[in-house]
Amino acid sequence: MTDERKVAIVPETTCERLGELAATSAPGASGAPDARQWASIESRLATADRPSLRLGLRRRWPVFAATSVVLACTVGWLAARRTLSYRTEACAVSADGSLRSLDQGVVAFDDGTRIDLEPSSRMRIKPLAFARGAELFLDDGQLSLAVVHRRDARWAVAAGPFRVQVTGTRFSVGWSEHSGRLRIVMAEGEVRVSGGPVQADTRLRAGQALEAEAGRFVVRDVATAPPAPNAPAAEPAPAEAAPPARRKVAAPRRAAAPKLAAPGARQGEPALPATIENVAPPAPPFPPPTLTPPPAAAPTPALSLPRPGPIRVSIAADGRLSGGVTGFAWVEGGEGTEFSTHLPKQERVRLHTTDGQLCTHGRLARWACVNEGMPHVRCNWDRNWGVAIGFFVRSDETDWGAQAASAIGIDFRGRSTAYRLVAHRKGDPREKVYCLERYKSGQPVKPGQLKSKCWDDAGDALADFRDVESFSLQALSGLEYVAFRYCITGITIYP
Amino acid sequence: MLVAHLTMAAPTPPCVPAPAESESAGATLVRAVRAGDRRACFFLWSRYAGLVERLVRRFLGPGPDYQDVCQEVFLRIFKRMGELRDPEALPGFVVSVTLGVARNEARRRRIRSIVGPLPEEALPGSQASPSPGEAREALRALYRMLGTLSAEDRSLFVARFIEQMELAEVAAAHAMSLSTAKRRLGRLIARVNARVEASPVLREYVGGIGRGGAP
Repeated sequence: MTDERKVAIVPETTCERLGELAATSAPGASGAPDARQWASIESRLATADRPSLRLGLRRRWPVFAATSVVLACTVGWLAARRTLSYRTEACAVSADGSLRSLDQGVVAFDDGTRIDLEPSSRMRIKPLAFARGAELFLDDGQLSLAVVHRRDARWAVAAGPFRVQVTGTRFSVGWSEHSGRLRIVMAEGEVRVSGGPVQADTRLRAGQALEAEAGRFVVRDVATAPPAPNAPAAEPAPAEAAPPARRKVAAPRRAAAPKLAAPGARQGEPALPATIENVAPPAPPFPPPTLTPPPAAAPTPALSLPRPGPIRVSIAADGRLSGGVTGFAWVEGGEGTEFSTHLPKQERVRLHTTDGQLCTHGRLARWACVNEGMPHVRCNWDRNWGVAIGFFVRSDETDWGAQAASAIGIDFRGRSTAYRLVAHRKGDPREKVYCLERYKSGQPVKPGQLKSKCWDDAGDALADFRDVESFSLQALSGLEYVAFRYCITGITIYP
Repeated sequence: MLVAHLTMAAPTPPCVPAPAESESAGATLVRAVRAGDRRACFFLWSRYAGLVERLVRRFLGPGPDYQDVCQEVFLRIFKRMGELRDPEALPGFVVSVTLGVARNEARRRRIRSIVGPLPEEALPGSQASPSPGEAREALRALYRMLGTLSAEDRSLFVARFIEQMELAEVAAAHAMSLSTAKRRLGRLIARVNARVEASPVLREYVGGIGRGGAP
């Protein structure tokens, strides 16, 4: 089939006329293909099925086809009833289900998505079917969101007349019910904003901010440093008599991609200029949205944090961390661990981010055991311990010292398996660690919860984090070969 | 401690093995993809990405999910490259796989639509459309109507009336004989016309133009 029509068809018939309508609405893509698409494909190719498995599936395809129809209907029905669950911290829940943050509130979802609420913020959550995400209704206040990108994810924030659609990103959004002002500051990824005076599907990318109120909205470039969850929104640029000059949007941080022509705006998708204005000149200064004053009532936290004011650690593209932790990230595998990206075996290797996350995938070898099935079974679990994504707390790889946090939480997503949170103290032998079994994503952990023999729920408990030089999230080997695939999506420390 | 960068290296320009005397460029490419040459895979993707995207968008209608579907298409192409007997039929193979993946996606969305409403952004026509007013409404109605067809009928409609493929191409893309394709298209036209008659928006858009159409 070629692109050109072989016969000039006159749209005389119903089907042909409708076909022409659809063809007009989706013409051929202009410009070079998006290099990020290839990056995603290549990443997925790295973990494609083995040839022997493909052959086996083809031979059994008729059986699969016969049974999959029944299973698909059942699974589809069950999946529709499933929604994402979440837990809250430092939030009060009203009778109507709305949340109000008492201090620096947190809402953490099962998929690793996290919302940090400024004090006295009010919001409602409506989880979507198929555990695809949630609709968040910001009634007043400010949120910082770190949304985990998933293929079918659907996240949206509704604030007054405005709507922000999210696909996988980090940003903050503030809404003042009193003044009717909206402010969005992007840290990573992209969102689409609509409603009120905002043009339909206005896109915001990392390094941009949008401010909107009745009758007007402004999009401008801001510093690329991500907003801390407990920091106030960045102040807008000083007042100018004339609209600000257009500036180039900073390119998003991505892994090196094929050298293709920069993808231009595709037909039907207007490109986002560096600055969009919809204000009548002269443009007066636009102050940040005002938040309602905190309530006088005493807080009643749902979960108690060691101290208020969690700090969200920033993860740079090269794996360097900032914001309470200054070291860099690494990945390491035990004996028999094979990485899909062909890393040196049994060596600690610096880890760069993939879409802002620290990810690894590959295959874990099974334990080699003797006397299996008997009480005195012995396996090589000390050498064949699995795989770990970790990070040093300090850039010089020394202990945390006086700046050590009182608790730490790591957000992650990955295959369903047991994960272990591990801390290693400076000066201890490599194999001596303090750990917590069956660690859950985002769970805040105090030092005393980590033990030197956590697999037996025994051993010494860690007194504090001051001597700790590194943390890691470990996926464990077992009695069977197993593929691993997981990502650290966020790190939070509690001062 | 070894420190290494794990960033993805930019693929170099395609460097497939030198072809045999009697081997065409297409055959060389297919052979290299079958061998798992990533550069060949990249070359194939860059050549057909536009075609696949156009097909997927026209099949599923305007919406945000088409890029994921496009990725799925290429992963299938690479996996099933061993099924392609005639390397010169690569373009048709790409179309066939694309329509197959799109049909699966349509079935999946249909199951989802039964158990819950589609989110606003997934409704056809909610994205920017070059055609204003009446055409936009007709587009929305068209994709709603296509959503009521079976995945196979929808695929036939896309291939024949949107992509305007020849009958033989339609038959090949759907792994059916020419006579079967003609017969199914005839029934499809009747169903589409009946649905258009039942839709005031589509009926008005078509404007009472003569019914039916040559399969």
